[in-house]
Amino acid sequence: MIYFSLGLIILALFGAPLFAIIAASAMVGFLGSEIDLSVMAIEVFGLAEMPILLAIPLFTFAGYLLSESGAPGRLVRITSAFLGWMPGGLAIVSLVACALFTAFTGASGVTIIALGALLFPALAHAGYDERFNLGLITTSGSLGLLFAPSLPLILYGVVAGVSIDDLFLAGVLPGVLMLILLSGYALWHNREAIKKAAAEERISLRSAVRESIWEIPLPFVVLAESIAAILPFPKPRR
Amino acid sequence: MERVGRALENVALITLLFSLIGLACAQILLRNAFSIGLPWIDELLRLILLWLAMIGAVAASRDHKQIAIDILSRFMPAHRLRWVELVTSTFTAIVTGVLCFYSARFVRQSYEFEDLLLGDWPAWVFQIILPVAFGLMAYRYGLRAIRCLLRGVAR
Repeated sequence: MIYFSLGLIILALFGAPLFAIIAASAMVGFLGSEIDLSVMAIEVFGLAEMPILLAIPLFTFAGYLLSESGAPGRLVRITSAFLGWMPGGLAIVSLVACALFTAFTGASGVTIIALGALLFPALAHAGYDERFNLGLITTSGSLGLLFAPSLPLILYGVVAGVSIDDLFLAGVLPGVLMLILLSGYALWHNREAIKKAAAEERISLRSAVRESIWEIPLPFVVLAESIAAILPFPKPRR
Repeated sequence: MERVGRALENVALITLLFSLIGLACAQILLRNAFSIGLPWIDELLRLILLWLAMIGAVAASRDHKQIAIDILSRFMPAHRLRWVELVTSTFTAIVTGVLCFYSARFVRQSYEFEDLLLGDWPAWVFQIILPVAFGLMAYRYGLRAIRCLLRGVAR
């Protein structure tokens, strides 16, 4: 059993698809308890019966729509209109924009594709080093994870049987804390570069807000809905 | 054949996604505007979701896009990587093959017991996607393993 688990871990590290690793360990578990493996098919089929899983393809689709519509560009513009005046503004702009976009799209993993291509050259241009840029963008992809309507939270709520509305409310403060800590680190890490950095182009606040007037309310609408239970997320059945 | 398969997968995914969106919107509209709900829509939506997920998994296996850890393979020279891929692909092919076999058995049982879904539809019609999708994945990974082996031997 131990050798088998070790083998699986090694296979995973060498790049075997994770679903196969998980399936294999489930099989061994079922075999060990002498349960017929058909139960796996029944489980997969039963899993699809959870009403909440429907949210995932819909959010992912919404995320791709947003990213194709040029929302990432507008989002970067509006955050830099608000925050661009600060020293090290662009790093913080990236963090805030990524967090917002992740929240808009339900943390479905579109953020890095949508914003990364935009922010990476901009950060490099502003004089941040490459390793820092890559790290910043990949980290911020998971930053919005705690804000409504994130899919991982929904999934967690379903599996653990916790109220999803509560999870969303509980995510707000830690999410903001993460944002502040990361911004602080970005400032600290780049204190040399920031001094040298040229003044970034100023963007008019009003035009930036007008451009993305239809996107800003998205996370707030979802959060307000889940608080007011106008469109309540289905309660976990367990 | 690979080209036809890809096109079929894409068409299936797009059709499923849009019928999912259409039906979900229709249900919201019916419920809120006309205060009627069609219970079969909810059940059908979940079945569409299953099909979407399974066909998506098959589509993800075609370009090796399944989620995997690439920490070691990133630093490996190409000739050694081929042998590693041979092992991981064979492993995946076996696992999906076993899944295919047992889900086929599940579907056969459901066929024999004449399980019903959505009122009076036979359940196996909807469940058939499980063995089919796992089978296709096993086929793809098996093919991949053979290709790695041939290339490795050829060198």
